[in-house]
Amino acid sequence: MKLAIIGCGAVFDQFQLPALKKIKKIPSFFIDLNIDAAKRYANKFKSDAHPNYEDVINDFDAAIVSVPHYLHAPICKKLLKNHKHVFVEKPFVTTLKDGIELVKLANEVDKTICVGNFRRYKKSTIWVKELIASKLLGDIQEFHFREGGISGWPATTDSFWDKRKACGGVLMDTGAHTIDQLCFMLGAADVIEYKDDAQGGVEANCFIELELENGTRGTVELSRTRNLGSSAYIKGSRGSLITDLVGGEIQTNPKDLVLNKYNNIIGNKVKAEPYVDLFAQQFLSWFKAIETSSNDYVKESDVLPSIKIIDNCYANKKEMNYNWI
Amino acid sequence: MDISDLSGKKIAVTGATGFIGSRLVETLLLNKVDCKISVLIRNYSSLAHLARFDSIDYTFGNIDDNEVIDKFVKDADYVVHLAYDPSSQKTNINSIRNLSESCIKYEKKLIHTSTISVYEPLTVKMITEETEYDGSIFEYGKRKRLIEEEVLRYVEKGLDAVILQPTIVYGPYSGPWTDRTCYQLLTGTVVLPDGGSGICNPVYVYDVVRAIICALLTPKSNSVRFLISGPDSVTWGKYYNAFEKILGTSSVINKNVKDIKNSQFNPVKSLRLILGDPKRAFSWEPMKSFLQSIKYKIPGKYRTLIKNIYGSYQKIAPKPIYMPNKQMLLLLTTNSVVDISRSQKELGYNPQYTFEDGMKKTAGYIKWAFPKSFDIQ
Repeated sequence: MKLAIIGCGAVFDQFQLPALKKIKKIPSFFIDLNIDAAKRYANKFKSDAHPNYEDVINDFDAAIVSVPHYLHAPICKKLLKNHKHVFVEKPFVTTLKDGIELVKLANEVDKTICVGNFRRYKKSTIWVKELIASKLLGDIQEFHFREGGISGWPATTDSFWDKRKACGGVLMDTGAHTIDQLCFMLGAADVIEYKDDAQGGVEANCFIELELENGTRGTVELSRTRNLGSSAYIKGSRGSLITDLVGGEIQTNPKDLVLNKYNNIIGNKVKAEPYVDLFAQQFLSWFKAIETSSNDYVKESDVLPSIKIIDNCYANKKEMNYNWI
Repeated sequence: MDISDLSGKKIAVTGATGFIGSRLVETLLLNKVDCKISVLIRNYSSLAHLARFDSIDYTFGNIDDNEVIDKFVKDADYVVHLAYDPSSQKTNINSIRNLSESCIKYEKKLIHTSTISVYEPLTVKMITEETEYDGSIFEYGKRKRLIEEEVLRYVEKGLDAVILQPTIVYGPYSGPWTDRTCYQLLTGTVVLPDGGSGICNPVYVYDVVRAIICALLTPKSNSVRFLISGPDSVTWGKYYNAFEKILGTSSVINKNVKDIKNSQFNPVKSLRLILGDPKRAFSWEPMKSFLQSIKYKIPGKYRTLIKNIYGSYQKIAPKPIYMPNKQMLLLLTTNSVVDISRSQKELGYNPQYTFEDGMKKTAGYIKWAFPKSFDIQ
């Protein structure tokens, strides 16, 4: 299988490439509008470099797409229409409409779209989902997710900050992970209220109130300017838990709940996995799906509930006011 | 001061991604002043505050690049210089020279933001712009003073410049005087000398923004340097108490100066302090300067690795005791009050927030930025 990399920016350099090296999968094509960046990798791995994926679209079988958000949908569409398997970084797409269209298209052409929501592979995320499903926490009554750090992402272009290219701020970027984890653990949710601090640009902070299908309400807070850490608090009628969404630590009440074992994972033994390992795991599961039609990977339809929430948030935005100005 | 007088003007800001720069840009844009903001950025990694707005012009480049600065200044009506590179004094000096030369060439006014640290250690009863500089023992003040001297040299050559010297700038996003204060009170024990009786000269960040706007709007005056502080002074005890009240902590303890000095030189006590607060090991001035000089030269992934190791260590470290170092001890025991009469008279600067008022505003930020941890018990 010939693999193409479309977009050789910071995500590729810091995570995807080390992960591919780890599983000994060397791409055949490195593609980037910044041809110097593409050549740098191509020379290193004796592969080909191109500025435009369309020039070589007949020469590869699958592509890893990590380009500015606004290009996710058009590039995925083009690749699927040319019968390529696709791995696309999160956020899968920037609108629900595009998401639904791509799910349909992937089914029609019978090709995979794997989405880079790698936190679904985290042991803590899987364990929490299973605990909730086991009903040992009882009925979920309350939930609060919080994630934020002072942004220092080594962006090499303005695409992270330009609204046209990024299609949103912290909600579209960090939120694509946080909200996907929420939906994975607790199920789909409706947006009750959404506020952010964007003033025509991309938001640095946002607040969301959500309602689960059973009517339980909870909140999500995301930030690029505050060190909020990354944790979720989930309260059920019989117990509660706190989990680190990025690390792996889990605490439960009652305390001994954390000793339970699900999918060979014991709650109190979970440690933070290196990102590169999680990236490697998601690539392996995608390659397996391509080769064996396995269903065990993060599919485009899996992440639609979180895309729907993000889409609804932006559509119903209220202004977040700072009372200290 | 009428902020709307800036309508139709183009204001070029260096250091706009920083604490005061972000607040200045935010104030101008949220007040719907019909002015153009142009900012100089050296990379795309720290734009969270600015990227909220869609009307900012970005110039990408290095501040010590003559050509970049020339174009940046040429297109503006005013230049506000807030950038400071702790890793390279050479960059700081080159950038102020480039900015000054371009401002003279295109007849633009330059507002340079300096610091009260240029007068440190604060030993006289009343600090004024004429207070003698004794060749500060602290690197930051010394460097800032050298930058000021460059500005003054260019003023002799015809530069229209104002140097603002803010005091203890607190409020939303203030790294040293709000965020760090909260962090220390929430995570450890903060030691105050002599019952916190030393004098603190605080200024709410939006009063500093006000001072910058006053400086922009004031016609050329005879003075160049202006101290900027709030309307009142408080003791350091009162300053920390205000934060404790908001956070609901009781983390401040008092020690006399002699005991604090002893602990600085006692190896066993020093080791305990360093184990709780490893950053303390690097507070020795030459070491601090060296680390600052290499900070931005360390590749991002190694910086992340260092941060992660530090984060993991903090989980097992003993509860930190934040003992003032030499510089902080002098600051916490000063009895100096800052005289802002020159800026009031010549710039029309009229600070709006007493410490009590400023902290009422800051309380909203603190509760938002430092939410209580989740608790399952």
